[in-house]
Amino acid sequence: MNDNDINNKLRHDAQLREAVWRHEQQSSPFPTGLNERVMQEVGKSEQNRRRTRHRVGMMLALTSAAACLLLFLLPHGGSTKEAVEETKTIVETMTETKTIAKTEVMALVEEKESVDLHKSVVGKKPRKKVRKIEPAIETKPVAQEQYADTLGNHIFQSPENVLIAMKMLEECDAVIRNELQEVRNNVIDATFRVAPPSGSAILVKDISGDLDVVDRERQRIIEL
Amino acid sequence: MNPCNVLGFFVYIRVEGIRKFMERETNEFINDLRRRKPAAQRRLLADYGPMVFRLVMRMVGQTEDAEEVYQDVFVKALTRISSFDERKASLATWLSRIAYNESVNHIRSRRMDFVLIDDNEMETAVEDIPSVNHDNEQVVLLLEQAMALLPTAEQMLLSLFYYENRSLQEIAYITDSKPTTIGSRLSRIRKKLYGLIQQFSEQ
Repeated sequence: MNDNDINNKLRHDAQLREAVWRHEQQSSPFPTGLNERVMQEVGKSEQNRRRTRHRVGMMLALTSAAACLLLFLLPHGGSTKEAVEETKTIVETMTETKTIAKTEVMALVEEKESVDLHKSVVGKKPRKKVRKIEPAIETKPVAQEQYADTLGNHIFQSPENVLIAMKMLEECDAVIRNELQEVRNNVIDATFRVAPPSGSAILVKDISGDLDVVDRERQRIIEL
Repeated sequence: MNPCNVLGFFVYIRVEGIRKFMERETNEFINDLRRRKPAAQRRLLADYGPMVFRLVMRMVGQTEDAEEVYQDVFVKALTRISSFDERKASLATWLSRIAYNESVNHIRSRRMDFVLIDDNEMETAVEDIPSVNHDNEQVVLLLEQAMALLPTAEQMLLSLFYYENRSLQEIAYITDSKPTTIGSRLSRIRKKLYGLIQQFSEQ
């Protein structure tokens, strides 16, 4: 018996069909408001989906922006070469300027020497021995040497590294200045307490934070 | 020219026209569902909701559980409508399949008893239906009583076949089974029902 035979045999059972129909009529009625609840659920899941998509989009955009920023800021193969070329050009220009300056100085010296010689000839003075000035020797560019920082990054690797190094130097300078100021203030304060210069002398701190002993009557700073 | 042939031709044209119109309508409806249009979603719930609820109710038994599963079915169907392939099954069959799977998952999560349709069952054709010496109305009443004693899976199969008028292929798609298995299963259920009403009459 194949599928069709079974199907036909089953389908033609009118009594069973009627029984199933009656059985189905007894089942629970469809609950009211159920479809509205489903629509609300679907709306919620739709909102969640949109929110998730928005979040993912934002994260992707941020990641791309961060990646672009990193690519732009971090030195890579191409930019290192460019930076070295840039540094070379600067050093070469500096060397050229130096050579030109040397040549000019030499020319001036020679001129002066010749004037002196002329004077000596007129005055029958013994001829001075003219010092032979050697032509300017081209120096090797200094900047080609790489100065590495504590982390091993070359300072002249890129303009950004030079900027960072300069900023760090400025910060160091400020720290040293503050330390010196503090030491100086401590010394002045201690000296003033141990041996005050006069009765009208007072300790005054100026805008920059420096302590000074001022004579109130004369309105002058007293050097301790 | 035979007037019957002419009439037949016009009837054919008319029926074909209606069929094409219905097909176009269904395609537009599915496209609207894919575009997540609320009007289409409401129509889907109104048109297919009772059928899905009946199936779920038949399987899980309790109204509260059936409502929960029903919500899950439609949320799943409406969010995954893009995966619906009209060449594989109709929208009703696809929804029934989701409903069946969700109900089975619910039953399993509640550790309730449910007999799954097994393809490895002996596919034996059942020929010998016991003869019943009752009138038609009495047989129907007895069959109805006997149906209440069947497991939920068997009641669901009978409902799909006799009430929803689904083919064996469609039921096989819904239950992820083989049409032959479904046929054998239905034959066995029928035999069981007639056996039960014979027992009732003997008592």
